[in-house]
Amino acid sequence: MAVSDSEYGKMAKKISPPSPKGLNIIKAFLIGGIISALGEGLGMIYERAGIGEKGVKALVPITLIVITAVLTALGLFDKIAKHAGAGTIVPITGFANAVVSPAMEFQSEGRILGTGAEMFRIAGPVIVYGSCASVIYGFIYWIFQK
Amino acid sequence: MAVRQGRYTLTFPSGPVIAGSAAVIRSKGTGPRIKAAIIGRIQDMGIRDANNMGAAMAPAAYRTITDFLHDTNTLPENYDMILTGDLGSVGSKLLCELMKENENIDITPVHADCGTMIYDLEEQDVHAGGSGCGCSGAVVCSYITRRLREGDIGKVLFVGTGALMSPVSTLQGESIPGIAHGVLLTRE
Repeated sequence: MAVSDSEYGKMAKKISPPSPKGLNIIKAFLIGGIISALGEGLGMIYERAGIGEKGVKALVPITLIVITAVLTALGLFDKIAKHAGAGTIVPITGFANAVVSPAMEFQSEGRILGTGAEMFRIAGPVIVYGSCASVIYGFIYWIFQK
Repeated sequence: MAVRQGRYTLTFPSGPVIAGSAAVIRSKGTGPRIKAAIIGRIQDMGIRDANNMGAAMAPAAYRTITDFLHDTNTLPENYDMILTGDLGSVGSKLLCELMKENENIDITPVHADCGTMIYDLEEQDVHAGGSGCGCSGAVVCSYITRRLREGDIGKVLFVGTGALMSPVSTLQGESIPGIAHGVLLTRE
């Protein structure tokens, strides 16, 4: 073969269309910002309604999670996420989507080994390493508190 | 696996195709006919990107098509269509480029790819096209055989493509070898 492996690698790279980085970043920023603003708005509404600070802190994420779960089930979340990318993945909406999607996807494999086992397929690592990181953070916090 | 990727948040470089197909091959009867067949050889040009399967498979398609043309002493002009499996738009371009660079053969006028034919690339937003063996089965067993029967085309070299991809070996940083086998389909 006349074209060498490294030449072929370059050819493949040249022909494969790159992601439109600039546009993706702007979209992620805008939609991520809208989701965050929505969260802020919800917080203000709940506060007006006379729910205490603790209650608001719990209710805002819960509301966003419920909205995402419903949108995922309706197939609308994918359409938003396609444009928003990290804008929808980084906020808690991404986490909710990551739990609901496999739960729906693996339904056909049964309630226990399908939905039950696969539900945390993507979210599982986040929980594991998130918990580990918070333990380390807590430990450092404790040292500096002394 | 391709089917399960359907609902994950990240978009994939191709649209998975879920299709089933079957063909009954007999020793007698009217066409379309399998005139010749070629068993491909595994080709590996060091593509490691599991999201670029077209690029991983293109060298295998190139090898099989070149071998077939050499063996039968024919040129692309002798075929109504040289059809590949699921190279997609990126893999197809690479295949044509490899043919031109290495053999000085231009297959672009007769080349078509099931992966790019099964979807409307502009309308259906599937990026590089369809992926999976369903592309070949569905397109060849319906569209291509029908066109052969109707006499609209007479001679098709069909080369099915496959990436010998294992998620484990990709994670270990190994390259993805490709394979392609071909059949020559004729009207009579």
